[in-house]
Amino acid sequence: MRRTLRLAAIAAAVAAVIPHHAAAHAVAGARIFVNTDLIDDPGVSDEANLPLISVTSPDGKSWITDANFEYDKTITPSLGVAVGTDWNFIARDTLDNNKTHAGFGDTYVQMKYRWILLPEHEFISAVQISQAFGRAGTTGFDSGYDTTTVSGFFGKGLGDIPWAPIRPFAITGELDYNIPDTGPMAGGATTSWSGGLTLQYSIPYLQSQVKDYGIAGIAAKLTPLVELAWSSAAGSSAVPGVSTPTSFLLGTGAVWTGTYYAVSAEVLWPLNGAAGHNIGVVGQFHLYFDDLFPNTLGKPISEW
Amino acid sequence: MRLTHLILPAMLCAASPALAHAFLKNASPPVGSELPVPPTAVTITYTEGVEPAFSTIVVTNAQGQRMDKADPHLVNGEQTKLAVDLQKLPPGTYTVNWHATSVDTHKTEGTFHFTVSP
Repeated sequence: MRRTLRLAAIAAAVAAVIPHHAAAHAVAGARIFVNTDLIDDPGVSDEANLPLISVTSPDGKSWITDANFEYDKTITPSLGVAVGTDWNFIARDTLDNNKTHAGFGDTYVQMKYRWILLPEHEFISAVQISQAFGRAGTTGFDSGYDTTTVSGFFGKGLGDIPWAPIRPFAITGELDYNIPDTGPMAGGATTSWSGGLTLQYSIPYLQSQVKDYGIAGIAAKLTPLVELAWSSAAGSSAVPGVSTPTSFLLGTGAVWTGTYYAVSAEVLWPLNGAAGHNIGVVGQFHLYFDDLFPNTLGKPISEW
Repeated sequence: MRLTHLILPAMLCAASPALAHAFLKNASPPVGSELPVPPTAVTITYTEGVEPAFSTIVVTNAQGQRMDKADPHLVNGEQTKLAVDLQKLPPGTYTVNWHATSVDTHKTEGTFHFTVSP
């Protein structure tokens, strides 16, 4: 029982710091909001994470590898659904004789609606509702309770600002309200907030919209970025000793965006103890079905 | 994970000719360039083929007056190269607004500038 609780706690910690993804190929005008690793981007599209992998140490002793697999499908050009799950590998569990464990976390489904798209202003916004099934994974790795999450997203490219040096930048953001179906009194969790911001600098945008410096090769498709993810309790817990600590996690890295797939890598910097005790890494391999198979898998169902 | 295993074979079986969003790959005159001699046309090479009937290139001067001849056309029949002829351009900074509809109907757009030096 103790091991189960501990593993669930660790898995929950990872889930809180690195939210579930529905990374999307979000395009607004000439701007591509790249698929980011710590928060979701604001688009709806036909894509897949195969996978998104993070390696972190929430307690400074055990190391957790989290592989997230997710498939996103558009129903209409502005409405999409997703299904995904995480596979966790915990090495050196110090509370269980340094044993190694592996198992699946919560399975989740999401529905996302892009409600604003202003290409001329490189602005996009979406809302999403998610349901995580906390008893669908491996015992001890799933959370043990279901969670409903309501989310909002935005992306703003700075291409319409009349100062050339700043035009390749873009900002994206996410805000989630997480509602567990079971409170801490019954082994669940308190309601919580999570989300984050990203600041991206697009070299493809620089060369195609601002000034062509003749940058070639891998660098020509890179988007260096900084991400800040955050989570905290929505209110104080009624149960003594049970709380959701506020965590801040910084990610620094880059995304290489090709026509049909993207690859990203970031270093994770815990900004407080609740976000971890060691530097971690995260990266993903991401397929764009809308570009790979525009007439089949990559097409909204409404257009089949 | 099982879903992934199901999807990958389906992808391979369902693969169609690869098409995608048409983004600007390069342009003539180059994006952000300064030219000693006025260009006679603006040519944009896209990352994917575009539909010329549904794609535009509009060139305006600093006063917002249109300086292209409104004749978007493919260059040598190449689906990825769209051009528009220009009126005689006096020195100044010009804005190029492009809207592209790729052959698989994805829509993109963008803006860049070039300067003709005195």
